[in-house]
Amino acid sequence: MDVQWPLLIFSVLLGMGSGLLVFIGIGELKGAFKKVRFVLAVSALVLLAAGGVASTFHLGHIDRAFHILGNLNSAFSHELFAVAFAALVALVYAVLSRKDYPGASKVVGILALIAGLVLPLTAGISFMMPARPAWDSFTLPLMYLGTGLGMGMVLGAALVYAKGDAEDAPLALRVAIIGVVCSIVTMVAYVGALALAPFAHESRSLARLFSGSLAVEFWVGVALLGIVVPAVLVGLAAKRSPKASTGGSAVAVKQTAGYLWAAFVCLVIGSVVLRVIMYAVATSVESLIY
Amino acid sequence: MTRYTMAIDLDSCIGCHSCAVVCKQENNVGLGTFYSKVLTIGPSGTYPDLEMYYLPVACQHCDNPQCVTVCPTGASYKREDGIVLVDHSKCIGCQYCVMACPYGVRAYDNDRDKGVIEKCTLCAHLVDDGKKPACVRHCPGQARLFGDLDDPESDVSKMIASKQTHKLTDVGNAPSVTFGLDKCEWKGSN
Repeated sequence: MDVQWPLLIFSVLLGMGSGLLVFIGIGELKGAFKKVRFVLAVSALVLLAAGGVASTFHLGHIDRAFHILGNLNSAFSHELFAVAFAALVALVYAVLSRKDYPGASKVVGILALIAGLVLPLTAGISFMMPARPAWDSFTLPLMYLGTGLGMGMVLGAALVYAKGDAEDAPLALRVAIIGVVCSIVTMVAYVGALALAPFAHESRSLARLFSGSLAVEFWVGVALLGIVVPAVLVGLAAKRSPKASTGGSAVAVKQTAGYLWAAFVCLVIGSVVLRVIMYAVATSVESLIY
Repeated sequence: MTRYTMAIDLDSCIGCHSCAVVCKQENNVGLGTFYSKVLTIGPSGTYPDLEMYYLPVACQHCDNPQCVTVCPTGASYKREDGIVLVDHSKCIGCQYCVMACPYGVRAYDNDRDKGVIEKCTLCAHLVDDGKKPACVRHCPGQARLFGDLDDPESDVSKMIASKQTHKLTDVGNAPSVTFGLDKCEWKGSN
């Protein structure tokens, strides 16, 4: 299948926004990130909105959008509800974060965490179709979730290093490391699941990724930039990061932030390339006419 | 209950592509788009024992159509008589049905009715008028048969009762079109 760029961009931005929502939720549970929570919420909202706009370019008739809820059982409709819920939560949290309502912020923060976990899974499930063996595995929504957590949590940590309190930095870094681990594990799981997909065919085989027409995308885009480099960069960030008790020099903070921003860029590239591969291997069981 | 479908006697198909051509004429199908095509399967075997058959393909009007399940607007729907159709006035062109179809027989229309999904309608407009689909009426080998699967006297039921029958790969969608083939080995999975 050709790469569906509007859907690809939508899924990457949606994942990023969802990861930020989870980051916000963790911050609320731990009582941290207060200084940057408005920026985090607005960033999540902007990412979700931009993703939503991107997805409309996939449609042939946006003018008929009012028909979209014609089949509430379709995964597409569930995805739409999940996006709307996540955007609403981000908006409410952004408003609350400008005021001092600790109780309400905590409740909405927990809702943000839930929305951030549910949305990528819902988006991924909409692609699980028996007709496309390379998609019909729960490792696909898990990959959507994991890569979203990686991008969003590292972005959140980078924002904390750029604009947040110094005492929040160690927690932010720990969350970022967890995000990168989630991203790596789910990316590997998705690629591994291709080997187990039914109706084996060369077009969706691991051989095509490892040594075939998708080898450059896989080894450079996914393995190197999507997995190895982000892991190394967050490792360096953890090593360079100043301890909370000692505060640390401005140079160390700046260097750690630099590693996090670089890791974020690499994770975005890795997520995009893995989705390019996801579309390339999405051949149907029997392509008879098209 | 009526369940309209098609049965295709592959032993009688001569691969003339008349069905694909008349389908385009009847349904005004745009350039580069096909509702129906005829594939050549083979030749297979070892010389001189070679065999080959033709496989006309189109929408299988599945009993459990995944295209209908995934359609967010209800534009893809299955009529009570078994025919699966697309209501163009509701179609938003999201192409989820194209992805969900196991057979690659749905197309995004860039030509005639821009931005919607097209596919074989089993000539529902003719069927509703008491006629047979154009491909069935014009098949010179009378390989294509149309009728009610629940009527044992229909052409479709008679062919199914008289030949070895096969269906395209079923991934839970339960394709309704039946292929009859006695003279060659079926190369599909079912």
